[in-house]
Amino acid sequence: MELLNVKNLRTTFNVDEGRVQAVRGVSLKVKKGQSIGIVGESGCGKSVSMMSLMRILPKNADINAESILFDGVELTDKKPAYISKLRGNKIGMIFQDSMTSLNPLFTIGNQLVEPLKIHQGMSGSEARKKAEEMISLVEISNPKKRFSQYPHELSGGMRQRIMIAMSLSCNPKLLIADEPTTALDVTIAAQILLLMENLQKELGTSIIMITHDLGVVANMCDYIYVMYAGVIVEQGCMESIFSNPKHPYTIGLISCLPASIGSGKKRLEPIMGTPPDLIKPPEGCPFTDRCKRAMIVCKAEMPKEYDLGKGHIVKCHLLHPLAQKAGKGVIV
Amino acid sequence: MVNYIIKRIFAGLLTMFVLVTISFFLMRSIPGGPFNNPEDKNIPQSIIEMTNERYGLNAPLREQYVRYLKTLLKGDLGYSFILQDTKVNDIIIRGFPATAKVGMLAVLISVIMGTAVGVVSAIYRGKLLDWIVMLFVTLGISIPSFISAVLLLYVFSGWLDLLPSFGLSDWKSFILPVAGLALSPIATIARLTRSSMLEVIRQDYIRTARAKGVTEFFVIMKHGLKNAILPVITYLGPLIAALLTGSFVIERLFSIPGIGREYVVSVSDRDYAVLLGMTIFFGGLIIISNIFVDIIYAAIDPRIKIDK
Amino acid sequence: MNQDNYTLEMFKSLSEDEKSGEDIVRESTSYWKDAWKKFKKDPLALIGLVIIAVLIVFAIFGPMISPYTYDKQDYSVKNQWPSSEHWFGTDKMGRDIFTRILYGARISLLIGIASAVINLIIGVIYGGIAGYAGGKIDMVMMRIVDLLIGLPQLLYIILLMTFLGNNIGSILLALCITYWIGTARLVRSQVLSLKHSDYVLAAKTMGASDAFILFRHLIPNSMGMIIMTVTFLVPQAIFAEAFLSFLGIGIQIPVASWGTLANDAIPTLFTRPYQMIFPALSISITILAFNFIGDGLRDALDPRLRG
Repeated sequence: MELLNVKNLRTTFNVDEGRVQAVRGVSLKVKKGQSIGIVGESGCGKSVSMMSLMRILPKNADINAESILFDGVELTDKKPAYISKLRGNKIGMIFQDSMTSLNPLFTIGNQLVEPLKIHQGMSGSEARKKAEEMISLVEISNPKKRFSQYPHELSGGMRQRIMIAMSLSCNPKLLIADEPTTALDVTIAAQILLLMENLQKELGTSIIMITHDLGVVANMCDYIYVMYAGVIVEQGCMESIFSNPKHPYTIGLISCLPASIGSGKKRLEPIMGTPPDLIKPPEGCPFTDRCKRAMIVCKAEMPKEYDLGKGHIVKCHLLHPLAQKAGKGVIV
Repeated sequence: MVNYIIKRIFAGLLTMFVLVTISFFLMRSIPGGPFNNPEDKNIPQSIIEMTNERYGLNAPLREQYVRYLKTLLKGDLGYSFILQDTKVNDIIIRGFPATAKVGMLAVLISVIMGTAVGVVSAIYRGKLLDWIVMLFVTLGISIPSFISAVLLLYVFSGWLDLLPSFGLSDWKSFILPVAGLALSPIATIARLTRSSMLEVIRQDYIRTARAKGVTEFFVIMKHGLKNAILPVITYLGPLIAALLTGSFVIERLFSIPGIGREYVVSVSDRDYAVLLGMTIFFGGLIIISNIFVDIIYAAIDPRIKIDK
Repeated sequence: MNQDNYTLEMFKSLSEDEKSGEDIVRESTSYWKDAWKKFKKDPLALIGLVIIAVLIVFAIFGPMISPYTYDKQDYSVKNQWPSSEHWFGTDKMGRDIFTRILYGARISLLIGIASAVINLIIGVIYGGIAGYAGGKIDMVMMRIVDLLIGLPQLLYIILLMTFLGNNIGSILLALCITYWIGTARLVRSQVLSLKHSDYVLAAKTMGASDAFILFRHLIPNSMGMIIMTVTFLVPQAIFAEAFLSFLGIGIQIPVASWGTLANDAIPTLFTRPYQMIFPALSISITILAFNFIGDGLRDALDPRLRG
């Protein structure tokens, strides 16, 4: 059963220097109870696409989509007030930096009960009780004490747990996690991911995990989207992406992983170059300039999607039959 | 928290002490005193003797200093040089109520209006409303307070003849003095609030609040405002000081019998005793209000509770 | 183009130089050139610059050209409204107001710029030393500063002027004793943040003395901030002088300052507003102009500071 179906999302920012096309035609699907990952480097548009869904972008953002179906309801023609009722309620979101994502002047408790009061109409004491339950749920001891504490009194790991508690308090169907572990050190990050996994099993929430770290995605996600410069260049289930990547960018990302998870190579191979300017995005494939296997056609036109079966889809000219003929192609 | 307050009080007292000492020695050591005016050359010697006796000017400087401190600790600021039967304390008590009334109103209006204007301007950033507001704010900050006060006086009293220009008889007579006093602070607070609010709106916790489904109104008013108002609270200290010096002009222009006016009079009369006494009073006032401001700040921002 | 109509030609490899590679799209400029470019774009700042330039010209040459002097009394023309002979009208003693305003400009500019420069020097040295030395020296120096700001600066100025007399020297001295504090704090925080930079470390390893590092590295690198602060000091000084003169406790010298002119015009505010308008406008426009320039500088040198 599909929970979320996004078709052709385009988000553009109007800034002084021009219009930045941050998201250029992204489509994705999430099933009920599924975990998917969106992977890409900083600035590729992964966070912006999710924030476009939630409509929490600044006023200079232009958001357009053919269709955004959430839980059977079409969202594209709904007023902001409608989406606002979904946020924190049916769709939860957690962010990277828990220190700056929590309001320093209000207690943890105050911030936890907020969505409960707004969306579930709970009274003060009901909300407090539920908030304390949530604090225990995310494995923090002494919930009563934590309730009256301020964000700066908690450690990074604890704050991130609180963020998770806050986002799950109204039992949303979908949780969007934007780089939840990037700011945490490795052992804490592992704990947080484990917590999220367990909560997902317990509550049946679908998760969209945004990250630049393939390692994070390897453990948690069933299906992965690889994004570059505002477009999805490859998508597939975990095995397809890790054992059979086709797009040069994906291949590059995997080569960047240490041997334990990646391709087994001993040498780390960085991807040279920098992403393109999104005010004047290239006509063709955005990865052309950094691609070792780039061809003339790559610079000229954006590749179409090639479906390799089992949900594995790649946007790359290397899969064109003529590429095979020219001896450049990828063996499918 | 209590520790913090005590530290602030102690620091305040120290400042006062230094202030009193420096002022005292400055005053007593300049060639002058009550009889320095050329017109006074004709005063008979006996009167000079009596005055010196009365003010203890015959004693060595150090003794004078100690004596002054002793009387100061009792809350007695001594006698005026010019009006020799009047105590400085009485002058202050006489004038304080008028100044306080106008001053308190000015504080309230400055903060409320300034903050409101700043928030609105921040929300509608870049739109026409913002530009108009920022223009007025720039003018308000740059045009000296005494000039805008004169402008108000002229327009509303002289030209349009809508409001009184003299004294504090009825509620109408409060409008121009308070407006004249509050105009500059409103502009300053508006600008401060605007830039603070703009900074706050970009913060991650605002994004989180929206992601939780908080309505835009509460995102700004609850999450935004409390954070944005911190610099304004810090500004309250200088605000009180500005209102104090502003009262010099306002009370003169509108003939209000407050301590501002008394102060200016004592300066032009060279009544050093009153001058020193009032300076000490002002200093004390400012120090106390600064302490209050610090307490308010610490009450809002929990990160401050931890002593440095 | 329909992707089924591709030709084999198109699938040849793309050579390295056909790719854009690591092109830097925007040309780099130096900090100062960049700042000047930004400054030029600010219309208000440019207007401010023009106004001050005009003012300086008028202040220097105006009195020489004017047919009147600042103190020539002629009761036959007293209290006249502006006319072609007296552009700003005359005051109650028949003196030409325009000329008096020109002379007043000299005073305001002199006091403003002189005090700004002196405050700058004191503030930079004090703040530089406090920030660079750090530790106990810094603490002591800052405690002194904390004590000094116990009272509003205007009160100090009034006190000092009462004791020292009402001449230009004493007002300059009085302004100097108070206004350097803002600059000192700014310089101190700049120095504090810069003193751990790599180039300071490099200079130290090459044997540079502390004074050398302070004056040749840290302070020039804080120049942007410093210039901006000084620009704001000028209108503050002009304001202080005008304020005091307006209350009748300012400088009492034969040449009237703008504040004095405004003060003189209070009694006749309702009947002869022009006598107040011209000094008031002069003071306001001058302060505005300096504030515009200061804002422009601030935006040009560090846009993060502005809202």
